[in-house]
Amino acid sequence: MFEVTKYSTTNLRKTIFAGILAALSFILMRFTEFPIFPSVSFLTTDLGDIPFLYGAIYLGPWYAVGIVFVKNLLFFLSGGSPGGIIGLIANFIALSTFGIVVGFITLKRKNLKNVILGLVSGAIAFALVMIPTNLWAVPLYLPGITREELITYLYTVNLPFNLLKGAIDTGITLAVYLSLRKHNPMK
Amino acid sequence: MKRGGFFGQYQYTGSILHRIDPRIKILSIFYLIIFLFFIKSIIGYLLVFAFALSLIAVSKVRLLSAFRSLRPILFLLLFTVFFQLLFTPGRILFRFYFLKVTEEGVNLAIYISLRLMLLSFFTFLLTATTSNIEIADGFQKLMAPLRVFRFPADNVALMISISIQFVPILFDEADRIMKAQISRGAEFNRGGIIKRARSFLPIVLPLLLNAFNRADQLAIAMESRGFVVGGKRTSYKLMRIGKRDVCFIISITIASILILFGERFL
Repeated sequence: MFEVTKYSTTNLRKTIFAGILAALSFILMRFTEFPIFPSVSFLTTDLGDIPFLYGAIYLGPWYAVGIVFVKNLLFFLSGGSPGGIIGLIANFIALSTFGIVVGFITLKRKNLKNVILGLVSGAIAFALVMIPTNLWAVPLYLPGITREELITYLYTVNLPFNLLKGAIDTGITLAVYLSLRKHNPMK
Repeated sequence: MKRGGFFGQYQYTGSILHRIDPRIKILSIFYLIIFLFFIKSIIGYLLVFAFALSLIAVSKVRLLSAFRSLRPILFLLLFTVFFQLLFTPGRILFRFYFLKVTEEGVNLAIYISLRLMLLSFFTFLLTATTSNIEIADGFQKLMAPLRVFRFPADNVALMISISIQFVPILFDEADRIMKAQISRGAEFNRGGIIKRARSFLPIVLPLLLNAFNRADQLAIAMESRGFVVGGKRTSYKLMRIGKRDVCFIISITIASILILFGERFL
């Protein structure tokens, strides 16, 4: 049923595929939200980053940045961003880093070793970039917070949370990659 | 969620704000958002608030819908207000057991909630008075000069319009696949974190596979009609900067100068 045929030129097909992946990221965020710890219901994550990471593997780093930009633009248009416009900018910075790392490591060879290496180092880069990003973004919303309090919060709550989120993203993207390995969309 | 309720902010009232060039609107909203961070006092924010309300009045969109657009940030708003009220040191107004509310805390809470509300109001003003297609076209035109730096403006523009068109289609598809998997006995709200995450794979995989095929079919269809990325294109609606747009820019500039002066002297 799922025969993947390719007759069109690469540039146009890649761009269209990236556009669809951006829409898919936006949709999946609403369909697949689930709590990280079943007891704490407000701390949720979702599979919205999976299409984007898949795109980073097969389309390369710059398409990944494009997908994140378009996804955040869709959020901006829908008015449904829980962090406001600053949240969107922070998300763009962090996920772009994730995508660029994954994209560059898997650029030459898309074998299992490189994909695992790319996703793991991308997830670590993502969690690390969130620290300076939050250092800039959080005081815009909480001017009363002192720098020491903020840094303590970032290292004790934010960093572990983002590492966990990156680990979940890595695991699921890997599962998706393994299931769809035979259908390289861009060969 | 209703279909088509994804970008449901746009309300057509035919006001002057709706007819301003989308490029000008995008740039001025971004200007206003940056401007917001240069204001340091509650009085200044109240002046901006009055300005935002007058813009909403000019645009003739329903005031209630502007306040409804605050719903997604409600949690953030409550959290920041709560945090500022209770954890700001200073002169104590009253205490309730171990909680104490300070004067500085109240000031900061008002200040920050005004800032958050205004950020939402300005983005709402853009999306309520500009249709998605206009915003996409506006971004496309604004990005075009970046081609000089070899920025792939045409690819990004194509991605934006494709993704906007595909959101309702993919929404239906995701809904259908989810129901199909549920009818086969799939469960999505059970088990620990790994089990839950894995339970979504039967939705994600078909969606991704369909995305390849759709991308290829669409690419073939577009190429057979002679579409080339970055080719010279004409559009049905032309954007021209007119008198109206110049007046809008001038009034925004005057308003921001007045707000800065008002903040200084009030």
